[in-house]
Amino acid sequence: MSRWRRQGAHAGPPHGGRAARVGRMALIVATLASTATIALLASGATATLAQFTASIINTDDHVQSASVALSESQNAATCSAPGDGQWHNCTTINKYGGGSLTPGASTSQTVTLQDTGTAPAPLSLLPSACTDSLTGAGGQLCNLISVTVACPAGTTVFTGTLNAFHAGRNYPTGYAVGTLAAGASISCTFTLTAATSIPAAGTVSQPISWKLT
Amino acid sequence: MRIRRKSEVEQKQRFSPLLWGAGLCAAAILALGVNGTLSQFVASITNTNNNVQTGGPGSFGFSESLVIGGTPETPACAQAGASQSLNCTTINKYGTDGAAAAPIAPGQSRTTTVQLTNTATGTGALAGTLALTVAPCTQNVPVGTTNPATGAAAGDLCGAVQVMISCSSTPAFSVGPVTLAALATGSPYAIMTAIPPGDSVDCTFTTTLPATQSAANLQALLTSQPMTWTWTQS
Repeated sequence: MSRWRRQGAHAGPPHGGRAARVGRMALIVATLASTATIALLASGATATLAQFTASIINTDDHVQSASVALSESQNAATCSAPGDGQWHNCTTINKYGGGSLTPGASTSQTVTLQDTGTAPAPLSLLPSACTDSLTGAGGQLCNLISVTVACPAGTTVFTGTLNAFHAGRNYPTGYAVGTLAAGASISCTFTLTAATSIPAAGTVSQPISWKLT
Repeated sequence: MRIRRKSEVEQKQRFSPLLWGAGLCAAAILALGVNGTLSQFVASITNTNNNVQTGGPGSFGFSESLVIGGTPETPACAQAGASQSLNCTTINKYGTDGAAAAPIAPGQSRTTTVQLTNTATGTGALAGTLALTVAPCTQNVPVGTTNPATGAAAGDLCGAVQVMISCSSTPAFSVGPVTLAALATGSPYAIMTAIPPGDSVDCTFTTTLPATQSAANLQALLTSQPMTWTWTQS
């Protein structure tokens, strides 16, 4: 009597029970494993996995972008600006001195411009309109006071009246001051000279912007 | 006279030795016939010199050298043999003649040339196939995050810098100009197949920051992009 018969009337043949299902599954798994093994061996034999290989890894491939930045200083006052191609004002440094100017007299202020970035860049200067307290923008007093800009000393960037300084700015290019090397500085001296005959009272104002591109 | 009839058992006993003997004789005759003892003349040749020899350690490998003024520097930056993976950390392919990164401004270019040589020698020296795999480009300041050097959000320098690779292979290989980001996307590159032992391929990397890429947020950034030369037996 077979084992199945001994288990009684409810016991079925091998193909109908859980053991049979496990057996069939094992057979499928074994078949797949065998096929995979044969494929792996075959691929190795045909050199797909059987070649010599070597490699050299390069880990030092870098690009560093340059930077341009501008600082303007006079004594303890310093202004900083990025090299973003925009005009920047420094409100803490008065390049016209802020004092009184008598007829025929002159006064000078020197500022230092430095490229604090890592690339050389051209420096430009852009004067805005001159205004005076007597007649406003482009007023009479702006025609009676002249300015000489020298960067550095001995190299004149502009000389003329404050109104002419504004008129000749060639907006938006401005006045070319020169190219600053990375880390290099240049001194610019602004010399104001009053005409021999000027009104007794009055003030002038003329914003000046810098750009390092 | 009494005649006793032999039993059935005695009759079977007398027959069995004859059958067994006949069977054995037949088997012996068959065996001798099959193995040739009684059927054919035979001869044999035995081969005792069937050997396999692998090439020596020098039979497979390649090297990478920096080329200055048309002359490759010695010793090579790295020389890798079979199954080796070595680092070459002294050649910046995006620099000038392999030099460390220096600030590049819009409109400027850098050029570096390296030489890949099949260093295999001796009997069984193998030809090799050269390929280049380029990893993704990364920045020291991720795009959109504040760059401490400028105080502004960093731009995409990996997408701005362009590189062109030209190799003296046969046929000539060239890719680019493409951005550093695109260079990785198109990787790997098959440079040349079956480079014979002793032969070399020069590859020149020309890196440019186009003049149009002058946005301030591209300033003061540093990219990094490892790449791997792979040498495979042809």
